[in-house]
Amino acid sequence: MKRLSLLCAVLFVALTAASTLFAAQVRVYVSEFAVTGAANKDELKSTLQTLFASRLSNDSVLSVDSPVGADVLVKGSYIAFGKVFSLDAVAKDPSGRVIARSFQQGESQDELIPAAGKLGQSLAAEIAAKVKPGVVMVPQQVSQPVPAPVPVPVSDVVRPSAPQQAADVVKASTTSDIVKPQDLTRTASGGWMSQRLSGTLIGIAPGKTAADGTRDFYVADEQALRLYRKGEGLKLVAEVSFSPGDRVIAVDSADLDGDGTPEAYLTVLSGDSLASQVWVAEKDSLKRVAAKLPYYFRGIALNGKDYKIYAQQMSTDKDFYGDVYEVVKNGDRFDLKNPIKLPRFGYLYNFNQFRDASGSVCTVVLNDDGYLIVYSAAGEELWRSSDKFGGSETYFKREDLANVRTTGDPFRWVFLEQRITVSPAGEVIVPKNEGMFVIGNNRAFKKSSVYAFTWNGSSMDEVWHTKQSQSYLADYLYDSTRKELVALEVVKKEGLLDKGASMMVVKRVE
Amino acid sequence: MKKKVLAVSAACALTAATAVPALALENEFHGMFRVFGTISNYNDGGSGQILPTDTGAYSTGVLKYNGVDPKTKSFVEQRARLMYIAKANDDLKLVTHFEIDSRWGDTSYANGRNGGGAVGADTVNFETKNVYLDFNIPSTPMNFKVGIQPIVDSYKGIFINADAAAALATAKLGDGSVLVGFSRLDDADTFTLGSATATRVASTPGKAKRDLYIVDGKYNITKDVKVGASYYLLNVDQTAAAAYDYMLHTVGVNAEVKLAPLTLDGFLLYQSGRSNGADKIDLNGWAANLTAKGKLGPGTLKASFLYASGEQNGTRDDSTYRGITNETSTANGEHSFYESDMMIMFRNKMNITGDRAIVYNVKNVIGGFVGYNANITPKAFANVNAGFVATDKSNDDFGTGRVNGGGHKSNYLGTEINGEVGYKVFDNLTASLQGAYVFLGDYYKDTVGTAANPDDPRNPYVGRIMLNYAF
Repeated sequence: MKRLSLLCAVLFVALTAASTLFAAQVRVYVSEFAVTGAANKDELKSTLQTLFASRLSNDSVLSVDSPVGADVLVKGSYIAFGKVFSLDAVAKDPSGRVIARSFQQGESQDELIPAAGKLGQSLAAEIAAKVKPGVVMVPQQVSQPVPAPVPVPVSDVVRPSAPQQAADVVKASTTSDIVKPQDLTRTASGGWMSQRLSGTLIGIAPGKTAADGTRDFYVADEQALRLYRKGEGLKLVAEVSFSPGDRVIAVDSADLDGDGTPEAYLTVLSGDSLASQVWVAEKDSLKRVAAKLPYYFRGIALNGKDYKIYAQQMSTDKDFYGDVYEVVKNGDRFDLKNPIKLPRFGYLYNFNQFRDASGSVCTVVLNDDGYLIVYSAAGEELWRSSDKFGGSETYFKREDLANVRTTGDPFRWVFLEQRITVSPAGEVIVPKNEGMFVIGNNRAFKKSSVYAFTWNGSSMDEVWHTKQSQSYLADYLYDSTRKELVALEVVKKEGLLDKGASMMVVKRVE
Repeated sequence: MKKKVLAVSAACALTAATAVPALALENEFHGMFRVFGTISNYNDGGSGQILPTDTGAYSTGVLKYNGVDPKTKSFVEQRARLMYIAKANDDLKLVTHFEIDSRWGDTSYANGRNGGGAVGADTVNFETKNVYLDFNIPSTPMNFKVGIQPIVDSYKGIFINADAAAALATAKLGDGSVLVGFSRLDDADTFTLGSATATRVASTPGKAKRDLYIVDGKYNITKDVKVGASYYLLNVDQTAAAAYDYMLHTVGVNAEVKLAPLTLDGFLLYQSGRSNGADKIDLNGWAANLTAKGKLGPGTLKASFLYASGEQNGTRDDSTYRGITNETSTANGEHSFYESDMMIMFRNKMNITGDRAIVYNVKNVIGGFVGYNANITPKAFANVNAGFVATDKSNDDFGTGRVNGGGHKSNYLGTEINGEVGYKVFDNLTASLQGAYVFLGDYYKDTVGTAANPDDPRNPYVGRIMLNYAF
């Protein structure tokens, strides 16, 4: 009997101690994380939830598996921009009042778990300080006049170092049942967007800027070259069309003759051969300067310096033959000089160069699979992106009867790549088109964004990227003087009967 | 103890499985889907040569074609192909290619290729065309392709254009390249060239076989001038029949020159060999081609000439040019001349299972072809072609002689005219109407009917509507 009494006493003491111990801990429930900008979103949501819940627990805070009966509800978010990420967490009491808020950020996935640990510790400490088990400390209401909200400049550009807070709840306006957009011709950053342009446009290049600030743009689709003038609006000034047997695949511009008006270098496939043309804006018309040039053209500012036209040739069996050359204008002739040897995967349409801190030239290339690769001057691969970039729907075809039995197509499809721009500051700017139905030669990009990177000597660090657009980016140009990105977006693809539609968008890169 | 070991093993396996990072494979897909609706008096949806002189009596390996009264037939066939490429990295990929063929209404609930088009469908009809590794040796200019793969020669396919088990090594050297390869075409104790009905026995791998050795070089002299040379060795090692025991050496040269606005290309092939056994037959064949094409208006004009030698009398010397054939199907040509753009005289590049032609195997033929294809609008296109075809030697390669004796009246096989109008519904989807008609030549004069009432075979024709989706 004594033994039984002793056992009961011990059990009572133990139970009392345990209940006291548990009662001394704040019960916290961690909900699923919101994940933005990362692959495997669904997997990450629950993984981060588990990870964070276990790291939140300590002597004062107990992580529980159900929100029922919890003293504190913690909601977290994971935002990734390239390799840089931010873990944010907010703790609220059951009535929804914010008790604590904290964040951790890191620069690679290796830092994710340590960051979760640090965030857990800091949030747990803050919760323990403000919450008694079963009692939530409510911050005192301060009856001070609320200052008017300071307008925060909104930007089209997202920078990894300053992730933008996304609101979970959008509150309806109480002033009106009708929400009016501010100005349809303005982007969030105060940039500009054009009216709807007919046709599925494929390329854009800058023309002349007049003294009154109006700017000309050469814009091309597969069968025409247009000259647009941007003042207050965008006005079609001139247009020339080509034969159905000709196919325009690119437009670039540069002022090679130094007369102050950039010429438009139009890469044209005529049948199975290159028959490129050079046009120039003359008052309100387009004048052809040269024709039947057997070159592909691309305007590139190597190392972010002078904007020049480069060319590559086609051979009887190779789509891009030999080295890339600089184009020089000698009178009426266009000659090739200064060959550039490119590293593996490099050809005219997928490369640019920048200088690293030591002044050595590095070549950056988008490979066939869309990975951004940085090569040293010696051709050694230094870095390769984890994400895919580029992506173009512009292509041309060459007869390929040798493989028709296998491919079922008498033609070989050759896709061009998005231009890579290097700014004078050394930023490497590259677009990224995405889409579900990008299989083989079937390309249907649906979304786009433009990214900028800098070279830190070992890898590329993301500097900014534009907000994702719900349209395919056909081409773009970056104006480093104005800090503007001029994007040519296809808002409606060509259909069976209609020609589709495009739009020009100017985004401020501040 | 046993349970503990199992538990520990399971835990280790689970740990290992979760610890192994996901393979960074790049998945690449290509494919096509094509539907043909065909109306024709000669095409029966099968493959192989048609003999306009055939009066209906079925003979081995040859289509039953009633040259006197060919019935109009209409059928619809389809082909789907799916290519999956698993890229492990920039230098290594596995290429697989599959095919599903059906003729509407053919079979259902069956096991076998080229079926499943009858009501109910549900047929095991999945064919594997290619499975091979394609890899580079890093830091070298060497590329290897090993496995069952497409092989096409440098002679527009008239020697070999087929899927075959092979190991090919290519070295890129500046503006040139050299390919060295080996392909095992057959591995069987007995087989008979040119006939699938032979007693093919394959009980002893490697005992009797047919191998192809390839050496092929190309060099770009400039961007507009390319030359090439080749040596192909066909080793037919069939010991049961001396006629099928020989080595055939094929050497060739080819070139392509662009003289804007014209592009000229052509080749010359010469074959030599001698069969073993008592009847030592000297094999000496040759083939040649010259093609010119250039931009004209909104389209391209093309003219082409082809010669492939034939044999007059079939004695100990045989001067027939011969491309690679298979020994496992009645349609035994594993080569082609798609550049002709013919639809009846030669195999057409868009043919699927219904693949009939008068000159199915390229041999004993002289042909001249002219064609024009144009883009009417960026989406609409049209092309027309004409072909003028004769035999080199007046033998029975393309039909029997006159029923009242005297062989063939002429070597002229016939004139084909064909045309196509099409529309690019989407970038990848093309719809087109095609038609072809052959005016048979005097080669077929009085070759059907009876000696008392000789007649000419009816002219073949075909009309097709095609939907072609390729990605």
